[in-house]
Amino acid sequence: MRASELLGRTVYAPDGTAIGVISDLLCAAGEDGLPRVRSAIVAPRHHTRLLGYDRPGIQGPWLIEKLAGWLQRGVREIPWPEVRLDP
Amino acid sequence: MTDQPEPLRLDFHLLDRQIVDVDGRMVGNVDDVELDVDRGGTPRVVALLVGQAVLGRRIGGLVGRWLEASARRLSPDPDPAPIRIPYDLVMSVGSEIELRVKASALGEPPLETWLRKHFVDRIPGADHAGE
Repeated sequence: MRASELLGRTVYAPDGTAIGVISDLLCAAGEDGLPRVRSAIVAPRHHTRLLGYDRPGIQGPWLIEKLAGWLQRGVREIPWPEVRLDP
Repeated sequence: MTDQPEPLRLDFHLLDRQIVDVDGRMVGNVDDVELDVDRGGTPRVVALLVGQAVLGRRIGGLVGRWLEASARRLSPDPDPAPIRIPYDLVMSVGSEIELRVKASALGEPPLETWLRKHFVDRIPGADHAGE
């Protein structure tokens, strides 16, 4: 499987309604040192790059930060075991 | 063990990031990432993929198809394989991705193969360029 097959995929709620699309995948190093996906960043609209401003502690010029905040409104992190890729 | 951000963001930290070898020589950009799904259904990163055809498939659409087609045209192989860099060879992930090995250990990109075959090898004296 390739990352591009997951990024942009629609994520569904247990009742089958679409929540949004996978915008990024957060990984943590496993015992073997290889990064394992632990959660998905799901955006309510189309797949878009989040400019990095969704990371905690990242600050930038006020205008850019506000613009990034507006672009990524409704973005949420969903633990990987709860990510449903089929309705 | 790879020196990497915690958490590692697959799209933000890996995709399209520049890769350099152990000597700082440019290898290419991360065009896609190969994942392997374990028994529990969790994907893990096993390799970085570099190649025009990989990028074309990732982008999709008209531009993506053109990139894939031109990659096939430039490669002697009708289905060109990407340069596959096992993640074990990644030393660190930062503003660029540094490898533990030399670029020469990873194979030649199709564009360089095509240029060597069609241009460089035809230059008079190219067969004893090292002398």
